Amino acid sequence: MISSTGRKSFSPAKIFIEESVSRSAWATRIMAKFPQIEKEVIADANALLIEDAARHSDEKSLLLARQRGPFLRLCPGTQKHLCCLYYNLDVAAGCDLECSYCILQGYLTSPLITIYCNMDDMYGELGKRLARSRSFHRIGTGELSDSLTFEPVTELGAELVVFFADKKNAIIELKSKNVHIESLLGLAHNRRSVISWSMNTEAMQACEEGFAATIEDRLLAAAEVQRAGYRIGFHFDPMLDHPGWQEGYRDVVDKIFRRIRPENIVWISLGALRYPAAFDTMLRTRHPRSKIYLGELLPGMDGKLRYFKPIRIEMFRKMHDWIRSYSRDVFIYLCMESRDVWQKSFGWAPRSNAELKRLLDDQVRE
Amino acid sequence: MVALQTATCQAFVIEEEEPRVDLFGMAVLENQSTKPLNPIELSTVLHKLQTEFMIDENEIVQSWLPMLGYGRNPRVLQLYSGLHELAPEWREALTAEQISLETAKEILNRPEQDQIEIWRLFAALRPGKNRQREFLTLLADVSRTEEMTIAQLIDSTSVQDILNARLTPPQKTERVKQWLWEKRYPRYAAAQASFADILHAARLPGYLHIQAPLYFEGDCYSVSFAFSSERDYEKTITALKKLLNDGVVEDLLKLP
Repeated sequence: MISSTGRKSFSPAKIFIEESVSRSAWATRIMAKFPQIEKEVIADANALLIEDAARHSDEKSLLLARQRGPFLRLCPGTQKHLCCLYYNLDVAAGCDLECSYCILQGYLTSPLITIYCNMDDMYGELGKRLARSRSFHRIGTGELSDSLTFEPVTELGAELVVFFADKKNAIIELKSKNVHIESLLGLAHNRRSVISWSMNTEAMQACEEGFAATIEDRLLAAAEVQRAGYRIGFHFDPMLDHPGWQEGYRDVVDKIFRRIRPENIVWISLGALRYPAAFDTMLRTRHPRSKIYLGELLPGMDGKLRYFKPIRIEMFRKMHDWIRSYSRDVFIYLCMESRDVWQKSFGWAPRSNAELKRLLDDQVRE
Repeated sequence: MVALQTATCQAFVIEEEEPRVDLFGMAVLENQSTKPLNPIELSTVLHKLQTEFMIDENEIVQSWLPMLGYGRNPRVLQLYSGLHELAPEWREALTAEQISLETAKEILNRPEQDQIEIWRLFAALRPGKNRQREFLTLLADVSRTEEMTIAQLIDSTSVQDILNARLTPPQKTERVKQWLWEKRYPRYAAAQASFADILHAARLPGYLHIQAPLYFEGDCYSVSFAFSSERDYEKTITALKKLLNDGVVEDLLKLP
C-alpha cells in the first residue's frame, strides 16, 4: 500500500489569479479545492513575477494564469546529440518536489508555481494539431513540471487520459516522481496513455529528490496503474554517479521487474546528470549539502556539464545489461546522447533523430 | 593647532542632542568626500549601522546604500557584510585589490585554519584573481570528496613537496593545479596522461600535432601539420603512415 507520506498533496501558501482566467472553469475548480487559502486577483501575471518574485521566493505560492504562447512545443533537444522528437505540453511551470538537480531552478524565472487555466485554448490547439497532422505524436506534460504532483488539485491527468483515448496518431505520457494516481484508475484509457515514473537509487531519492515519493511508493503506484491496464514507462534520468550506484540501480531494476510485467513496460529511458555550466553555481548555493556536483562533470559537445564519457558509457551499458537480463524486448533508449555513446553503450545507434522517433512511435502505435 | 602651524581651522558645531547615528552618517560622508570607502571600511560601516545603531537591513538598503553611492541593491549588503572580520592579511589583500570580493566572501566562510593555509598557498603561488577562484573551487570540492579539510589538503606532503621545490611560482601553480585536477577528475586526468604517454612514445616530429577531442567527449581526433615544401609534405605523410603502422592510431582510438 502506498504510504501516507506518498499520498500527501500540494497545498499553496497563497493563490494569485490572473484576471483573464479568474472566471474560467479551471481556475474556479482549483480555487474551490483551497477554500481557506488567501487569494488575490491580479491584472497581469508578468507584472507580478517582477514585483513579487523576491517576496514569495521562500514559499510555494500558486499562480493561476493564461498560457500566452503555444501549449504544445517540440522538445528543443540539444546540439550534436540524438533527440527522440517528443512534444511537451506545457500545462504548468514549476514543481513542489524540490529535487536538487532539477533544471527548472535554472530555467524558470518565477518562484511561483504556475498552472495555466485557459484549457479551452489547449484542447483547441491539441485538437487542431492532431486533426491536421499525419505524423505520430508522443506528448508529455512532465517537462516544465511533474505530471502527477498537482493531480489532486487539477485532475488534468485524468482529463488528458480521456481526451487521448480515441486519438489514433498520438499518445499522452504522464511522467512523475509522485504517486497521485487515484483519478486515473477506472478510466476508459484505451491504452493511449503511458504512465511513467522517474526512477533513481533509493539512496539518491532520499538525499537528492526533496519531497518526491519513495521508490517503493512509485513502484506500488506503477503496479496499481498496471492493474488498471495502462502501459508504463520508466525514466532513469538523471542517473547519478555515487558510491554504490551499481548495487543501487541494479536493485531498482530488480524491483521493477518483480512488480511490473515486461509486456506492460513501453520504454525505459536512461540519461546521466547534465546541466548548463551556469547552473553549477546555483546548485552549490541552493543545495550546499548535495554532492551531485562533485561528480566528474566536464563540458560536453553542447557546452552542458556531463559526466566524463566513459563514466556515462559504463552506467548505460550496465543498466542495459541488467534490464536485458529480464527482458529482450523492452525498448531502452538514451536521452540526449551522441551516436557514439549509443554505439558504445548498447552496441547499436539510431542513424538519426527521425529513426529514434520512429522506433519509439512503434512502441505505442496502434 | 600648534603642531599644524595654523591659527584657525573650520569646525562643525554639533548640538549635544544630535542623534549619534546622524553624527556617524556625517563622519562617513566626510570621509567619503576625500576618498571612496574601500570594501573593509564599507563593511565596518554596515556592521556599525546594524549592531551599534540597530538599523534594519531594509532601511540600510533603502536609505544608507544610496547615500554611500551603491544604489538600493540588497546584494551589496550581502556581499560586503562581514568583510571587516577577515584576518589582517586578507583585509590588506582585498584593499589592495589582490583578491576579488567573491574570493574574500568565500574565505570568510571557511574555518580559521583553512583561511591560514589558503593564505600560505596564495602567498607562495601568487595566482591571479581567476586562478584564485579556480583553486578555491577545486580545494573545496576535493576536500569534500576526500573528507579532509582544506587545511589538511594544503598541508599534505604532495602539495608541500611542490611548494618547497625549486620552481618558479607559475610552475608551482601549474603543478598544484594539476594535482588538484587529478584528485577532482581522476578518470579524466588518467585519460589525459595516457594520451600524453602514447604521443610521447610515438616521438612525433615537431611539425606534426595530434589533438584529442575536447574532454574526450567527441569521437574525432585531429591532426595538424606545417610544411613549406613538397619534401616537407612528403615527410609528414611518411610520419603519419608510421603512426598507423606502429599501432599509435589504434592506441589513440581506444582512449579513453
